[in-house]
Order: sequence, then structure tokens, then C-alpha cells
Amino acid sequence: MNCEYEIKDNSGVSDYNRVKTVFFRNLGIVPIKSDGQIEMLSFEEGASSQDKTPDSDFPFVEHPLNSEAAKIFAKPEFLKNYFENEGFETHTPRRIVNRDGSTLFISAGVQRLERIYMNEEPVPSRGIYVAQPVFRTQYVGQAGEGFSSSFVNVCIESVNKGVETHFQNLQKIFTLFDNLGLDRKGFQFISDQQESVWGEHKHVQKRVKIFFQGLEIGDAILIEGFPQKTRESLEISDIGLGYERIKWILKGGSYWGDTIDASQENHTHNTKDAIKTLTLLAGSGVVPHYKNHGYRFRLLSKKLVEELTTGESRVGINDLFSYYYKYWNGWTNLEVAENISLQRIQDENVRNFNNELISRLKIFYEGVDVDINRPTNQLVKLLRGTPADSNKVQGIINDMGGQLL
Amino acid sequence: MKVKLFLSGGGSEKDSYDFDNKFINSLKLRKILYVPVAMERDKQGYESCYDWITSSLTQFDKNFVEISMCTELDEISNMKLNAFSAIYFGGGNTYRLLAKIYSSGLNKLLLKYIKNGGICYGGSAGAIIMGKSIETVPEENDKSYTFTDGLGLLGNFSLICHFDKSVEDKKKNIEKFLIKHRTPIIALPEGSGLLVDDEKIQMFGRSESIIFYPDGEQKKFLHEQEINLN
Repeated sequence: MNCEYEIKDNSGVSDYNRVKTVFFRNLGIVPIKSDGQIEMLSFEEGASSQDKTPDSDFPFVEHPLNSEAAKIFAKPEFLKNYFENEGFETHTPRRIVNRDGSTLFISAGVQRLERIYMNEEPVPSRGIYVAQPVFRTQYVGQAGEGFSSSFVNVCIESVNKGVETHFQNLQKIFTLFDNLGLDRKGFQFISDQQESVWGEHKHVQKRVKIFFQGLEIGDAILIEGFPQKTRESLEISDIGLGYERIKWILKGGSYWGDTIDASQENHTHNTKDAIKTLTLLAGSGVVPHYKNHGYRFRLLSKKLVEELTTGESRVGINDLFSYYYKYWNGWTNLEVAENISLQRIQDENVRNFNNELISRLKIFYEGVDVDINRPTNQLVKLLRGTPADSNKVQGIINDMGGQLL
Repeated sequence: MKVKLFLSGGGSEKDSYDFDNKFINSLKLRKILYVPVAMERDKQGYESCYDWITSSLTQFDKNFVEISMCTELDEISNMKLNAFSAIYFGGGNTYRLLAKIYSSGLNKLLLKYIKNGGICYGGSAGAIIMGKSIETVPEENDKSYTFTDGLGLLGNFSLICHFDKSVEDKKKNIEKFLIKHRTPIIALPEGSGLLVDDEKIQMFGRSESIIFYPDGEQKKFLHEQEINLN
């Protein structure tokens, strides 16, 4: 559907709610529920049939929208070319490790602008397109269909360009959706506002969350009055999409399904998620530690080892590492070579395996304690010098599915 | 003392170092569920919260502390609460936190969890909700929240955190509360905390806490002193 529109500011004063109303009305999208603070919107003709909660089942799983478009969408150049043609300047993504920013890791594409809104560097004159790998800790150990602790956040960002530009940018997203063949009747929106704090900067975000067939695929946030010390406060237009979720809509099946050969099909979501995110961290130069950046590496490895020692298949694991290394390298330049990244992950997995082995042994032999930073077969030899019975040690290792290789 | 609640009066990572250290070292299994929803944040904001909690709780020794974060309380039942040795409620807006707990039904799960031996850590707002009423901090009710009854894990006591006896507004809040509720308040300054078991409350920290009673009596509550819950 082609839906060109123009936002006219009849009163002469820009106003977020008025421009938003005009924008949606021109798309044929109307409010279907409102409690004063939160407004739900849907396509006019389909309002009654689309009146469902965003968490309901996803029809596209069984009925993929456009598997041909999924192949095109899978190539990073597709989005880059699209947004460049729409006037945006492509920026390379930041490294996932955020050495001097408001968070230890990059968790949102808007952080490409962090030096502008936090350190007051010059405001870019053009809109920016960035496909930013991000890491969200809250999904560690909670992976599922549509949920991953790392993904590509496809973003267009503008600073101090006004409310109209914000919604014109959102229009460009809808043109992209049209090009991909996403029927507008499948869209639903929730409009609200929330407070947040980035660093020490408290601010209010005016937000439109975008759902397709019940799945949240992105949001359009306008931040007005982001405080600055040496200049006037900023207005930031931040529109972000979950790349993998849109790909999932187009191709159907499982969110995690495109890795995959038969040997990898059986792995749990948490296994795949841990490997996906560990690969991003290791490839970005993070090394395991009990604090700071390395803490997340250790946490993810621990979660992975929990899976691998409780019945999870180990077949094809290294192929998954390799797959995700290539995946991330398609979006960002990983600075650590694949073989070194993989070795660091394996070493940490063995360490966590050993730690779990010692924990289980301590149930029977309280005083057993040996250095776990070594291959498991060496650890087993060291245990011979302790009260731990070697048959018991081997029995526990067997219960854990055997040594990690 | 088999502590089931660690309630911190708030303050910086440095202020609560000793109290947090005691909390971490009380855990047999260092596996913690962190609930930061007293603060209203976006995803990026919650990542900062996670950075902060991991920095706070991993500073004592090299033994790994596994911290999971939950920002959607409806999902907690699915997270197998009993897999965690402690639940950590961070600070922020007390009314927002309590409303989220009641509306998600987490209050029932939480009481069961504690009864079964689980430990809760409450920092500031996370501590106040454990008391009888949260109307000790009426200035935080900025969105007409209706839930004011705390989880009632401190007998008749309610809490104030970040207490500074030189701040007049705090004293006025206490006076109003005592007239309305006729139940006592423990006022905790930053850097102090309470250890709570099934029968008593023990004071922890060198900063001076005060217990305010409805009859106007005020008692200093000093390090390692105890009061009965009932």
C-alpha cells in the first residue's frame, strides 16, 4: 500500500500528540483503546480483528510473510542501501564494549550518539543509519522465540530536527515495511511515555511501540529536552527495529531456525543464545573475569555449561560458534580472530565445568578444593591427592555428560 | 540468627559495603535475582542498573556471584524463584515498586519463598515495602498509587530510609504517620541496615538509627541491638 502523506502544522506550533495523530490518521490507523496515558492503535479496517493483546500467538510462524524478502533482508547491504537512498548517513556500529559510556556494553542503537548527548560533541547535520549489535543482560538465561540477549538493533537517529522529521522518519520505516510486503493491517501500536535516566541525565521519552501480528518489532522514541551543560537541551529522534524479529516474521518457523543443520536443531534456545552472545563478546575482545565486562562472559559461559551438563546435546556446538562468528562479522568488525575467540570460550567453559564438578564433590567431601583453571583431565589427576574417591569423581563427570572437549 | 531479610537504609556502594558484604557471605549459593523496577527506566537504563548491582555485589572476593535481572514481574513465576538463594529489590520509588508487586501477584510468591527459607534484600524502597505501611514516604506517591500496605514482614514496624534527622520534611512525615497509623517507625540513615529473622530485628551499622513510637517516645537503635518483632 502506498500511503504518502504530509503533516501540516495548522496552528504554527509543533505538538507531538497532534503530529502523531495526523501521522497515524494518514496511514488509516486509529486509536482503539486509551486509558489517558497509554493508547493502543490499529489499522482502521482491521481494528476489530486486530484487537488482541500483543502477546498472543504469532500467525507468521506457520504462515511466513515473504520468504523471498527474507533472503534479501538477510544481507546487511539491503538496509544500508535503503536508508542511504532515503537520505541517511550510514555510521559503522560501535564496539559492543562501551569503555567510556553510560553502560558497560552497548544495549541500544541510540548509543551510537552517546558522545553527542553525553559528552556534548557536535550534533550531526544529517540523519544517521546504524545497524548496531547490542547486548541486553536481562535476557541471559531467558532466551526464547523472539528473545535473545544479543541482536542487531537497526536504527535511524536524528538530533534537533523536530517532531515532523521524527514522524517522517517513521514514515520511511513504513515504506520499508511496504517494500518487504508487510500488510499494514497486521500492525498495532502502543503509544505512551516513560521516564528514564542515561548516566545522570533524567529525561522523558515519548514512545510508539510497533507490533506486527502481536510481536513487538521496534519503537519510535522522541526525547525532548535531553539536558546538556554547555548548550541547549537536545531533541533526539530514535527509531529502532529488532532486525532478527523482522527476519523471523518474513521467514516464519523458529526465531532461532536459520542457523541450522539437523545436528544443531535440537539445541535449546538458551544454548544458542549463550553461544551467540559469547561469540560477540569474545570476538570483541572481552575476556572472562569475576567483575566488570568479563563478568558477563563468565555468566554466559556458566549458563551454557549448565545447559551442556544437564542433558543438552553437544553435537554441532563448535559449528554454532563458527556460524555466529560469521554472523556478527557481517555486521561489525570483530577484532579477535575466530580461533582465538573460540579458544577463550572453550577455556572458560572448561573452567565453569570444573567449578561445577568441585561444587558437586563438596557435597560428599567438604574440604576438597583445587585450582579449577586447567583442563578437566588435569584437574582429575590433582583430585587423586585429595580425599575424593576417584570413582565418585568419574561418576559425577558422567552425570554431567562427560568432560567438555 | 537465621536472617531472612536484609534491609538497607540506602546510600552509595561505599556506604553499604559492610552490610552488602554480610549479605553476600550469608548466601550458601551465590545466585541472586535482582529486581530493579522501583526505578522507571528503559532498556538502556536497566542495563545501567545491572552494571551497578554487579559492581556492588562482586567487590568482596573472587567467588562468582550469579545475578539475574528481572524487569517484568509477571514473568517471575516462570523463573523458578526457588532456584535463587536471594531476591534483591533495588531502590527507587516505593509506591511504584509496591504497586508492581501487588498487581503482578508477586507478594504471594514472595511470602511463600521467604517462608521456605529464601532470603530477601531490600535497598531503600526495596526495604520500605517490607514494613507494615509505606506511607512513611508520602512524597513518593507521584502517580496516585493506591497500594499503601507493605508486605508486613516487620510486625507492626514501618521503615524510613536515607534518614537524616536534620531534614524537617522527614520529621513531619513521621509525625503525620504516627498520628494516622499509631504504629512505630524505624528510621534508618544511609550506611545502616536491619537483619530480620522470624522473631527479631537486629540493627547493623555505625550510623545511629531511631525508633519513633506513637506515644512520642524515641529510642536510639544501635549496632547489634535487637528488638522483638511482636
